Amino acid sequence: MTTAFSITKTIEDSDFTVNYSATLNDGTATITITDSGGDIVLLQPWKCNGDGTRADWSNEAEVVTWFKEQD
Amino acid sequence: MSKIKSSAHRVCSVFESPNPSHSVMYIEGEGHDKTTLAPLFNATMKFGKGHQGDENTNTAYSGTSYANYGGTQEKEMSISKYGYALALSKETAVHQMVAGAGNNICSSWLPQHVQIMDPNGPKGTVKRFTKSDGTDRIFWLKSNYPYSRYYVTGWFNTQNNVELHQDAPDVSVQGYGGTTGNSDIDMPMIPVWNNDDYVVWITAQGKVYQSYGDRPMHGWGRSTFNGHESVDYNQTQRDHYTVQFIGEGTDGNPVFLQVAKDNDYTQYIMRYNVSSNNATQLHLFNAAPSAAGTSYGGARGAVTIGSGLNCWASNTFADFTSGADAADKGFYQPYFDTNYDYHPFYWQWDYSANTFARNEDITISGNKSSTHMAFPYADVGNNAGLINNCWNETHVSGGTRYLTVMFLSGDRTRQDGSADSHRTFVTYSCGASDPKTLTHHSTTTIPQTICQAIFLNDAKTILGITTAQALYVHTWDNTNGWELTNTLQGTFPAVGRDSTDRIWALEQGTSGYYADIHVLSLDVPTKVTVTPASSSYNYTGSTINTSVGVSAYNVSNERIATTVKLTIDGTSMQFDSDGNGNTGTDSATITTLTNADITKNVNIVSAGLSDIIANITL
Repeated sequence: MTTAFSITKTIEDSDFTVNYSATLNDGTATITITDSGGDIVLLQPWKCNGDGTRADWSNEAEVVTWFKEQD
Repeated sequence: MSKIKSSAHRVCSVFESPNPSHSVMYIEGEGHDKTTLAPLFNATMKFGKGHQGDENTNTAYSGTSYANYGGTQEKEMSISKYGYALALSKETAVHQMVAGAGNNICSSWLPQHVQIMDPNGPKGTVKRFTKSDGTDRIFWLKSNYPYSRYYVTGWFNTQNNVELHQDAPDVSVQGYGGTTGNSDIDMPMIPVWNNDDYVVWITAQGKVYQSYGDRPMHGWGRSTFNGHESVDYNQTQRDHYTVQFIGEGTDGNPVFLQVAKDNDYTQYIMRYNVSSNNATQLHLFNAAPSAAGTSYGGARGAVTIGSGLNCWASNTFADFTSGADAADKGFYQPYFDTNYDYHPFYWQWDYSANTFARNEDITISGNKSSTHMAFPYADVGNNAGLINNCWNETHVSGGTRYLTVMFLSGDRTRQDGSADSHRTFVTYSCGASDPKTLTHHSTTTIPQTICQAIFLNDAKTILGITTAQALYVHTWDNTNGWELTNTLQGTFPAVGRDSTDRIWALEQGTSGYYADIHVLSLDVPTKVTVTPASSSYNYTGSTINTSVGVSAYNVSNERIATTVKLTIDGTSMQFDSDGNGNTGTDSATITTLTNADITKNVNIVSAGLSDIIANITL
């Protein structure tokens, strides 16, 4: 299963919307930019929490939420 | 500091091949013996692809590019852009030396020499990378400024018996960024690491989210070892984040530190999976610390320390926490608590596990930093995202590790008229087996805005500080801290060391556009003292046998042995010709000692004033 999502950021008064997809296979999350020929951005075998600790992924929705919360 | 050449040409001022088998250095493009600096015939450097012998280092940044600034500003721009004309293989620091540009890329501080935290990493403005079969690649950061262009020139597979003037570069590229999306967008900024297949770069300014200035938005990418015309950018840049290369992890991949500009406590540790050009987040820390140790923790305001502060971590070193494994590493990173006191994070890198811990419970004895330091300058905007900086670095002396923290400004005059606290830095000693325990040691105040800081020896006991008015040389003293030992007047946009540990500096040239070249080494005297045995003599008609003590000192204010010619200007005194009181000539040549004054006998032969003039030969 793959979840498509997008993130929009405003840089220097211009909005940039980037389309991503997330997958979770065998406990490893993959974040791909779908706009640029499918470049994998992150290969993430764990979820990084904000206190420096790590956790296992629960599901693909968690991967998407986590990535959207990143700076 | 000895000026060896006044500016004459608009070419690279000093270029050193980082191939240790090469023996030629290039001064304004002309070959010189690396050891003696004796000129060589027919050894003109080829700086550009296509064998241009005198390729301009500043082409893209000539005054006309900035005509809209006009007048003095335009001139300063041109002056500022020759820093990377000091092309040396050891640590070299560059500053744009621009004043009052505000929210402009020319206000940004240049971090190149601190972005590689690996103490053995390539920190010069010319870097050499080698493969396991001995093949090498040399990169010159020809113009590494935070604008939309980063120029990098490269040589592939230089031969040990072929000097670079016989081997034109094979690659000369620039990155071009911008918001139009029609070019490279991201740019190769600094090569930091390699394996047999790739060279890995810290990159600049974003690809996914494009920026025209260095907000900062640093990232990383790779090029094949055999060429860097094309860089694969890993698209994990974060807006308002700097990047430092921590080192190679135990799995053979480089690890980076991403640091938020907008607060002191959000950082990512990222592994770049080079072969597949993607990344793995190893750790995220984005919570303000709790109070612990003597730290108040929390998210500070922006009153005595301004907003938008780039906090640069130290080099890594062996983790000296009691019980740490020998392979484990540590480093400090600036953090200021809600009381505006420096309580650095102490990072531990468990090397075998490739995991990191950020220790926030720092205990400081003695004066906190706010007693001495302030930096109340707010961010000026995204075009000058690197204007405000805090850097900390360590050195070891007498078995104790010391930690120095300072503020550095991209604007060369921003704190000139401010209170001393805006130009003061603080040093702490670290607990012998507890890096989280710090004791205030000393403070150092610089007369003008601190622009750049660079260690001038491998032991890091000589520290160069540049301002718009001078290069200040401080030498470490275990009792007093950073003691000022030499002041070299002038504006120095670049200071660095070559592979022989000579110190080079570029000074704003008298033309205003080209760089004067200075060089010194620790065996070059910068000061000679001649001290008479008595401050005055009462001549009554008989010759007075007396003496003078002579010493020569280097830039670090250490006595050195060197030949000094003494000449007496006047008729009332002469040198003792044979040491037996017999009057001789008005000149003498002596060799100074490394441990004390050397005594030279003189005779007072009449009443009147005489001077002794000391000359040294370089």
